[in-house]
Amino acid sequence: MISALLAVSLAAAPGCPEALARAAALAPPELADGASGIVTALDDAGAGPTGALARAARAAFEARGTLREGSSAMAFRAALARHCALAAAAAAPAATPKDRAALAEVLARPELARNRTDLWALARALDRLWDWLVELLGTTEAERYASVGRALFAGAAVAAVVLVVSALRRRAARARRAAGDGAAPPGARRLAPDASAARAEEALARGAWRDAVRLALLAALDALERAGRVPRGRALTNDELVASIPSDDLSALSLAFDRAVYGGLPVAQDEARAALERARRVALAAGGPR
Amino acid sequence: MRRALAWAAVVASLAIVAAGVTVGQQRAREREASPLSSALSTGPRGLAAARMFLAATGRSAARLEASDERPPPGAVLLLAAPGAALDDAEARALVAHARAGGTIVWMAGDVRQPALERRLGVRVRAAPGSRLAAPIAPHPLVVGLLLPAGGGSVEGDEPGALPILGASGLVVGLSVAAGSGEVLVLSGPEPLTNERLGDAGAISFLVRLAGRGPVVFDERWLVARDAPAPASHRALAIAALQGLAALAV
Repeated sequence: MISALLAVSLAAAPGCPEALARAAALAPPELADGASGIVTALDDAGAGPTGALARAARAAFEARGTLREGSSAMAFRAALARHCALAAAAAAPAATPKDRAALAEVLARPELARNRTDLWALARALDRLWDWLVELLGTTEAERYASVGRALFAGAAVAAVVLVVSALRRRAARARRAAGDGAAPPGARRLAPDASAARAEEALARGAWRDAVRLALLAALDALERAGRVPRGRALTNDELVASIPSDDLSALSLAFDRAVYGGLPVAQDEARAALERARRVALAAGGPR
Repeated sequence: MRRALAWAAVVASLAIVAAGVTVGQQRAREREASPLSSALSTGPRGLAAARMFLAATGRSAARLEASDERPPPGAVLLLAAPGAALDDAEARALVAHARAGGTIVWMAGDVRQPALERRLGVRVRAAPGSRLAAPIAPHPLVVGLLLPAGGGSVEGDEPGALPILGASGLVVGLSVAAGSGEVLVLSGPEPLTNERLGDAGAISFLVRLAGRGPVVFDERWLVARDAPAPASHRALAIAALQGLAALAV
């Protein structure tokens, strides 16, 4: 049977003699690799539609190196022989104009005419649209666009990350500035370290006893704050300070301050000098001269 | 402007859904009105137009109806969507006709045919749909023709089963060599139905079949052997699904 088919094929089908000879000459492993090339050559020679043969070639290729390698190669040879036999056969005549006229007359009969409504037109249109989209997405241009699109997307993602990080940093900086602004006034208004003590000395030297007492307490407080003995910000009253730090000097200093500043009582030179001395001792006790 | 475009899109979507519902309903009604692919049926799935055409052009167009009837040797047997499953003996007898030089065109229907599938080494899945199939092998019956096809597919296990028609990446037609004859296995009767006989190359396919020998409509297994099938509720089910789809849109 196969021999008869081969004989017919060799006689007529274009490209078939070469294809059959090549398929017969190749061992299964080589045929698995070369089958698609045989199909391509056959297609180029115009030996009819080769879709089925291409499927057989693909199956042979996928079976290479497996137990099915031999049988797949044989199946491809059989499919090739049948293809060539069919390609060599004369095509049966199609419908003639007379046939078409007869069909038109039949289909126009009342009992059949209603069937000609194309109920599937919408479905077919949607199918065509889908096929068109698939074909469009499968083109080289689409692939190029896809690769460019991927690069654009990656760039956009990186830019977005940079923008987000930058925005977060700006926000953090603003928060730090706001916190600094909030903390600045007390610090800015507060005298520099040891300034209160120096000003107290200066007030004592120029005979401003009341100021000397006031500045002496402030110098002592500054020393205590810097030593971490009391919280910054002067949030405690003098009585609370005295209660939290057991110190006779601080207690006496606070009393002198109350008398001079809040009480408005006259302050003598000795009292002012004693206040400065107590402030120095408080500073020393807190951690060193201030 | 943007709002107007959005409204236009909504209206277009609703129009498409409405069109789909209408077409689906109409199609379901038509299918229920003519469920059998009989040479006497003038409904969409019937083959009356093919029989009338053959008769009008002086070609043979016989029918086999009784189980004891046999086709003449060399006849082209059209087995369209049989409603009863052939048993092993019937499948063997049918294929024997092809082995003796005849041609069988088995156009699959909703009822599975395990005995035939086994004997021919094929697997068949019929499904509704509307596609055009193109030849994928230089088979003389289909080469150069586009043929109507449904949504089903066929697969062959044996080397002798040659795919000859494809649509949307699926095989919808096989040629199985049998002795000195041949069995064509199609995924559905669409190429010869009243509804689609006028489409593409369907009439040329029928003319080519008739060129092989007398055409016989084999309706011995057209109707199920069991009690009459229960009334179909497919239209109702389709309407419900389409309603859900419309709501989703």
